[in-house]
Amino acid sequence: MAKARSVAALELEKRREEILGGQDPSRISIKVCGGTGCLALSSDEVAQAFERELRAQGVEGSVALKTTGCPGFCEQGPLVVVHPQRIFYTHVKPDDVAEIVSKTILQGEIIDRLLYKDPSSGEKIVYETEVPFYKEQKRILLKESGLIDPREIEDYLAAGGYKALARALFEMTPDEVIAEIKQSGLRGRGGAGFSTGVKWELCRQAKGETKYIICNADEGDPGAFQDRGLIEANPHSVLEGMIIGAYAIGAQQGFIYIRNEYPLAVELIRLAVQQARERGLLGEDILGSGASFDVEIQLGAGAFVCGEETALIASLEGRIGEPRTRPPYPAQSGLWGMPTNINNVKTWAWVPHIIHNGAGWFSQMGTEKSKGTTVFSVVGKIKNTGLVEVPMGISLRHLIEDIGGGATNGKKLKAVQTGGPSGGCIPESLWHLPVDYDSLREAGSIMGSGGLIVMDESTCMVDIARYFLNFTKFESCGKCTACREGVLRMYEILDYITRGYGQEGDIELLEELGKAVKASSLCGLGQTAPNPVPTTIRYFREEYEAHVKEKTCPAGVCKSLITFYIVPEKCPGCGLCARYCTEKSISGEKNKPYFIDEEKCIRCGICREVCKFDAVLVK
Amino acid sequence: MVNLTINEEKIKVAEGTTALEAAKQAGVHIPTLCHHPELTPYGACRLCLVEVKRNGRSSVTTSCNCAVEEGMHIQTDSPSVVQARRIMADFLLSRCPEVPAVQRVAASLGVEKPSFPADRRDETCILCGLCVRACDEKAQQHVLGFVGRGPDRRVTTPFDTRAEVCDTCNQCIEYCPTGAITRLEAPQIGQRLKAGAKRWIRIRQVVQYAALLLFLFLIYSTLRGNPLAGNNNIFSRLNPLQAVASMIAARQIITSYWPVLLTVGVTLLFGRVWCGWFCPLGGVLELFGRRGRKIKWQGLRRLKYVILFTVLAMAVFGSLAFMYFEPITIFVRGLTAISKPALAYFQLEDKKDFALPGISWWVIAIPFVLVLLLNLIERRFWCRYLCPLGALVGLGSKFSWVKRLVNQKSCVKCGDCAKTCTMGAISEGRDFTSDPAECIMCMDCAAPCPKMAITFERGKALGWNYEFDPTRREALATLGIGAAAIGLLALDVGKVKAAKSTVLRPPGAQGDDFLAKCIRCDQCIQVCPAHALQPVGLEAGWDALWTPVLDPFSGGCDYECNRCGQTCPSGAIPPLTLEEKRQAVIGIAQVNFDTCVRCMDCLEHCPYKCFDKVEVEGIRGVFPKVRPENCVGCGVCVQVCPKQEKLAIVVYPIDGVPPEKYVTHPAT
Amino acid sequence: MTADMSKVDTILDRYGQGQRGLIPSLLEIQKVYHYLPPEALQRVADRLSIPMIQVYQVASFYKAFSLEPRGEHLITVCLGTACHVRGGEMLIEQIGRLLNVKAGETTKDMQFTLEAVNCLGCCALGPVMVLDGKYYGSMAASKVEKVLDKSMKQEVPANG
Repeated sequence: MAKARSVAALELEKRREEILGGQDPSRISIKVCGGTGCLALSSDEVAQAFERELRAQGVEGSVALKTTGCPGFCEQGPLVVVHPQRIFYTHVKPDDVAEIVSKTILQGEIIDRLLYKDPSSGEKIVYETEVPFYKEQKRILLKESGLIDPREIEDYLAAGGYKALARALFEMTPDEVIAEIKQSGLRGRGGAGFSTGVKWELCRQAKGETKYIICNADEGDPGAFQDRGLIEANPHSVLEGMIIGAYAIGAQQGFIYIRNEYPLAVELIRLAVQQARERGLLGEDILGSGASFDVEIQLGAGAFVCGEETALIASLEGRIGEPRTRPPYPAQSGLWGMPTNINNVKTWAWVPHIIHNGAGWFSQMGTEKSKGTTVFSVVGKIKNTGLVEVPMGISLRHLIEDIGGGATNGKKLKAVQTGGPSGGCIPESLWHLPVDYDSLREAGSIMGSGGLIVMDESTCMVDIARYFLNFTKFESCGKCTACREGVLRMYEILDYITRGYGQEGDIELLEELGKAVKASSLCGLGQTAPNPVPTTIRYFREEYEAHVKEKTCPAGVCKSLITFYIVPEKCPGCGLCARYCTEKSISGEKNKPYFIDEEKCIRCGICREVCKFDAVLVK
Repeated sequence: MVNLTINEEKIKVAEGTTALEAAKQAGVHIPTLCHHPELTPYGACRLCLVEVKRNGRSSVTTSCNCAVEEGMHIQTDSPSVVQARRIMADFLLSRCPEVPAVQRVAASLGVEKPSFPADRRDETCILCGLCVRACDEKAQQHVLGFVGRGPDRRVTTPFDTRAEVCDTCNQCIEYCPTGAITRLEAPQIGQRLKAGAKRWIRIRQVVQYAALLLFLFLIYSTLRGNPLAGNNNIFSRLNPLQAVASMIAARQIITSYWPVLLTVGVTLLFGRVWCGWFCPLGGVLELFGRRGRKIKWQGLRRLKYVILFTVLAMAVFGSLAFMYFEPITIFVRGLTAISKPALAYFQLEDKKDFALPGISWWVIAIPFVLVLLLNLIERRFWCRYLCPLGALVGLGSKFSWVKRLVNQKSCVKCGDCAKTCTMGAISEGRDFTSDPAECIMCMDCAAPCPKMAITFERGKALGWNYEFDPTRREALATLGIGAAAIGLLALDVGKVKAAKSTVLRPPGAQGDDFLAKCIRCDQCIQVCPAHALQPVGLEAGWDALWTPVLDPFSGGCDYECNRCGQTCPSGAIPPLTLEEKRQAVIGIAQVNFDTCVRCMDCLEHCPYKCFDKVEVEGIRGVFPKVRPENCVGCGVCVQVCPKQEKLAIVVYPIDGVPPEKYVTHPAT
Repeated sequence: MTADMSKVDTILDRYGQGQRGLIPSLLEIQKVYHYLPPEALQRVADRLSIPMIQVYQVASFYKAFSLEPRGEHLITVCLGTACHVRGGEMLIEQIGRLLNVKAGETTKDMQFTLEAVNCLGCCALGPVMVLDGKYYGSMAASKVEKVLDKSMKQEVPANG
């Protein structure tokens, strides 16, 4: 059923045409990444340097300078891409800017030293499109990341933004929108993988005048930043998805619950909301369609458990983030007792794409049960770390070794951890598994919201399990016995093991406790908190046994079980390690091999870190 | 109505019922700790886990907040549920290893010992949130809350400061399942109540020790011969057992016992306060020994009823022989035995003249020493198992207006009260209630109660049906014992009674009537300034043991003294005036001319001037001779006689005066 | 200490009554004072008309809030998984040794507060530390002293 487009909608379309018409595809534009990652590497200074330099060299009028959101390749930041050729410069410092302007911009020369060197082949790569990290991806959600300025709604419009909204509002009924989403097979990108369409339908059908929708941007998984990356690069896509969702569900008010730790993302989404309001895309009578919807932004105050929907609702209501038992599900009784629909950032961001391109387009991507693409933040002991978007169903190995570039400094990779603290570790031997909800679950892990942490032989799996349980121990709200006491006890056992006090039977006890905590916990946090333990035991039992029986840490991580020593043959006697050693446990004469006093050594590892000759080893 | 299946049993329950309630209706027990029917379910403790199948999907969930649905299948005992509950209980027990409520739940789920070390062994809070919910929902004060998160979570008030409203509200206390609520550091909940309870204990102690001091002072003043206008026997006259027994035995109302009415009144109002607040012996026994119950066989408590009934039964037969078991007399005799020689010693100018009394003196203290020794087994052992006076006021306490009450809604069965009870009166097996006949209203148990669940208030009228109630068996046994005892006494084993006629009684005491009234308190012995009165051994027969006799060898009845009659609480020694006493005939003295050395000391000292100088036929010289019609047998003559041990002069009971051996003539 | 409550009032002016405004207003107060002074919490409870315990609960539950005064400089070390596998713990231990504090503590001279955070979202650059809002990526324990020295040197003239 198509309604006649309103004046406002037609005007929006007209404006889009104008912007597109005013663009010269051949015009040189410089895109500096302004994502949090690159900012941490002073990309703001690079952008300022460009501004100065363009003015100094008198080309500010003919060259466009854009600060973009995160394109994902944070490892190489600050990133600068020169369009239209998409010349790809990495690790750009403010000092390099003058040279880029004078050589590349004005003369079209490529500056070799700033180019990206493929770590596997050693070849220099000139163009962004040819970088293996990007080449192997299928970027839909991240398509505009690095291209548009997240501060400019017009950039988003030019890229086809809010077209899907207009289509939904004027060509579809709410039920048709839901049917489309259902048909596409989109599953929640927050981790659990529940069908988004079904969820919407439940909420739409729930009794109640007032309904709410919530965007869960409380990305708490340590080691995952895809939601941040998406919001920082393309906040309007999330917003558009929410408006469409609100129309479909019948909600007038939406909330974006976003982490306080992401100041830039907060700033950008706020700006986006404000711009959308100004353009009549939010508020009363959106685009003259009669539908009303507005969004409020609420900052998370730092509690991982608020990723759990009932805890998130509690937090929105101004209470402590304590989950409650479901049912009733939020779709029946959520925020202030009203039917509420909560989706993850990426889920919302998918909505405009599906509405625009149709369910069929979406469902042909991915596997039978897991459709579409998914965004991972691939981090850890690999060469290319950053955000990647790949179709569901590609193998882990492809993702880690081809896109991720394999191990750094020649070490052997041994496992990948997915799903954050709620997930598990998948050993290298299972990396042929396709990336989708179900196969990861079978392997004992979960898809999670998309964190992927790669570990090599210098990562101790017992320590990793201990790390995650320490994390959940403190993030547990403490309400239910299973999670509060269970995770604490599991952590204690792991801690004993890593300190060399492991006993026969500890491993079995951990397995037993894991099952009980999983079965007995109130909310998702507790139900998944033990996950890192069973998978590490299942796949790396020998490491546990080495800790328990031989009191050794094969990876050389667990401090109580290792000793540092200097290989005399390798040590030239530079004395650097001794200078850094806070405990004065390293001594020796200049130009002769130094040695470490085991008694004094606190195993902080700084000597190994500073040694330029790899002379400090662990046994 | 909703149809559902619980463990294969199909039942129908009202809509909105929770799985937990439905299970209860089906008669299936599910353990809980954080659930209270009056408060919103919370689902924190995870003990009520069940396996729920709905729409073909099975999940483990808490039953307390799981609403039933049509066709739901609830399995409360599946292996996964049992295992999960067991581990939850283990977690809770590991957190609070010393909390009985948790121990019990854990034990019921097969967890005897915690598997993990406790961070703080004294932790009692399981973070169930019942108090927080009570504060919000019942009291609507919104003062308590969970602060911190994860392992740091705890219950407290804002800024960990005491809230004023907590002084008076106290509604949360009842809901706490472990008793942690009054132990929270900052909120100090129930501290006001606790202080109140402690204040009562202090008041009681003050009264109790004031009573003990008064008692000791009375003994002292009695010893010093200052009988406080005849009120130094007040503890005897307040003593219902002495009163009842002596009145029964004497078959008359003994009006000097009027203060007993006070004791009866107080007992009917407040229970066994006599024992807990006033009894001087109790005050001593309360000072040491183990509290709580150590002896397994608590049925022993009925022994005190046996003793009581025996005493009374024998009183019916006219004998007060078993008054040895009367606590005040035990205490008095014990103190007399020790203090009297001590006082004598201090009063002597030349300490060399002091002579320790003989064995027969010291044996009167044996019961007292035994009572003290028994106290080492259990505190107030005497009061618990033996005291007939306690049994008597105990029986009265069953009807008392105020009783010790345990709020069963609040009680968490921690047993702290039972541990502090000096009487061991609190029965673990009967929800920590106590038999009003055992409880001495000392209130020691109220302050340590973490739930402030123990109050002393108007209770139900009759305190019967407790495990220590005297039974018919005891009653019958008592009759048997009483009869047997009377028989045995009558048999006069060893013919000790043969010498009965030789004993002299205190002035005014009349034969059988005396024995029917004498409660063996020996206060007369204490009070006698001349040490004339002494406890008799078996010379007067088995049934007269430790009754007072006048022993002229120790001293003669002081002409200027009538204290014994004034002191006697039962009127066994009538309260004669001095003049009357002087006339009261105790016996008659007779000089033995065979051993008399004619010193004439008796003649000189006799207050009645009843000696004549005579010449004895066949013996040379002038002898003193008693004029029987003037002699009252005060024994002063015997006391002063230098040939006492040769029986140069002897006082005989009136009906036992031997005939004159010699003929005498007044000396010229 | 009678802190100036006018800022708190200004913040609270933006929120009506009720629980809803609690977390946002506390976040703003935290931002202004770097911690939540007790008087401010009391003011929040009064103005929002909610029980004090709810304010206190929330203030103690969320990591963003501090009930203790913090140091001049805030050092945040990321201990997210990515930073953990790349040695984030070594980093925080080294800082702790240099400043003689543990995570969550403030130095005695109230100069530095050391905080551990679970993820800053810069996982690709781990280990990451943030000193007064400035991010330091790919940190190493051996670089800590220099970073602290440098920032202190910049501070001294500014303060003096």
